[in-house]
Amino acid sequence: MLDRHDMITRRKHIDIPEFYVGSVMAVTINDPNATGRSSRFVGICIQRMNRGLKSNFTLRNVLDYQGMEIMYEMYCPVISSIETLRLEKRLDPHLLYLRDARPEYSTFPMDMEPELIAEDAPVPINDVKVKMIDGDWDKSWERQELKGIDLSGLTELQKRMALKRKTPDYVQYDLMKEYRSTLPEEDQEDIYREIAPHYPALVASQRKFRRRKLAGDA
Amino acid sequence: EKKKPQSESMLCQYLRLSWRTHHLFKTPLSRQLTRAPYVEKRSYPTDLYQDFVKPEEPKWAPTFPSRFPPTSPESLKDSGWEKGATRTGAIGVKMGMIALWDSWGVRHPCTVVKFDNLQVLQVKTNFSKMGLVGLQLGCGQKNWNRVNKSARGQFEKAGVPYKSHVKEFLVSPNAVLPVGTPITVRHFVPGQYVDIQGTTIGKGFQGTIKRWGFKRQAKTHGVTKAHRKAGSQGATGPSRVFPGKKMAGRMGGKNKTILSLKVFKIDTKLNVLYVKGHIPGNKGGFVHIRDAFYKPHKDPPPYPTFFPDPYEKYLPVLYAPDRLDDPFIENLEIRDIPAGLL
Repeated sequence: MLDRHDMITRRKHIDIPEFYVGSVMAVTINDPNATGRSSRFVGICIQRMNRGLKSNFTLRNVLDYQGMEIMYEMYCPVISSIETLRLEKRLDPHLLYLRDARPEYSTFPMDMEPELIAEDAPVPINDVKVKMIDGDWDKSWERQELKGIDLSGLTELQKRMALKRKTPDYVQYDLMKEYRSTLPEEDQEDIYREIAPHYPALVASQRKFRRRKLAGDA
Repeated sequence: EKKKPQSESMLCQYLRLSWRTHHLFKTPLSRQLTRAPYVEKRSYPTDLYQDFVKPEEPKWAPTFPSRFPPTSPESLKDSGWEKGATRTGAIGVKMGMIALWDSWGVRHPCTVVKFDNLQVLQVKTNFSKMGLVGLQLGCGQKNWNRVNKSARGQFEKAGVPYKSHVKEFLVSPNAVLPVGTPITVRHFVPGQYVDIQGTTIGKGFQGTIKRWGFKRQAKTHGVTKAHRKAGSQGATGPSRVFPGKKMAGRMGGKNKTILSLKVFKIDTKLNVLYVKGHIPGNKGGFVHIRDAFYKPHKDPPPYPTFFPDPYEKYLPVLYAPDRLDDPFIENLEIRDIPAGLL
């Protein structure tokens, strides 16, 4: 209850926009040791963990032929702004395989401009099949059921091993797994009742941020 | 009545009758013979006094002021606090853990401790330990049909609703409070250090590896049925196992104190403390909180406790002051530390 309260108060001061794994984002931090007291990082979101107050996401980019990943905690007061430059989804729940993919799939210019989408439009899904490097991979990505990888360059042994580790078909009938992935309606109602008094203030602050953004762009 | 032996030989015979039950006595026969007979001794002459009379001890009479002054920064200097004075502790309920960020971006894991109807039940001044006097506090709520007859009398005498947990704190006679005063979260100052006592989580009967950190033996290489056993219990010479030998047994459920925990945040509306670190016990368990022994106050705290000024407005949430030096820079020469801090 207290951490939910802290999350709401933080959201009144900063606008956390809609984003998914695979969307390109820019984050600015208040860093007292940086020039201008702030530093900005642009990258593709490869992982998003929803854990309440310690919810975080990692951004990946390749700068000067060096791959870089930074994990940001969404409710940390050091973050001054979060923007989505390109809102899109990918076929996989995480994009950790980009570490073993060719660098062109992880490079994004630091002065990238935001690509706007209509508010009512559905979120575009990127069907890209990423090509991997020829050498050794950090993890055996072919064994995990990842749809965004181009698996044409595998050896016969790797293909056999990939089939072995496949998750069995009966997992789709697991009711307890489905139950555990969602919260029951009664508990959801309790949470909404807790948040309800703060809702008007949250909506007003979101409008304020959007107005500031449009004024800044224009 | 048993006949006392008159000579040494008779004494031996007298004692040898108990040889059949020798296994029940711990002292060997040789030591029984050499031990002196028991004679009742007192330091004061018993012939003069028929009934034992306790020597007079100095009585501390609590002197309550007619009106407690409000605690503002000006009045704190006149509150009577000295550097060695001990003020009351408090009883809290452990609610769980949460994280707090300070302005440098450092994340501190904190436990949330709630004060639930904390009131003074009794003032005990008929004794003094190390110059300190007893102050009994009560915390929590309890149903009337669950309260003992003796406990009921205790609460009714104090004029206080029934409490579920009672604890006495040693307090300097200056810091005594009248019966019924509530102790709120503002008794503690954000930024101060605190000692917390509580009963640890009970783990039941546990083996030596979990309980004492013994190393387990090899899983293979010929070890027969002794992978998680303690092994040897001592050396050959003493021919016995020393008392206090670490062995399997009940683990947890004991009273433990954790010293010098920092108070990071105070919420006066919810009556809640945020303390950095971990606390013994489960959620919903009672903990005893006192000012830290090894990190005493430098500035005067609310003494004897916090009394709000009716003409002053207080902030609902108080935070501890941040550190002035950058925690992310390791080289001291680069750090911008203002003079006088180091």
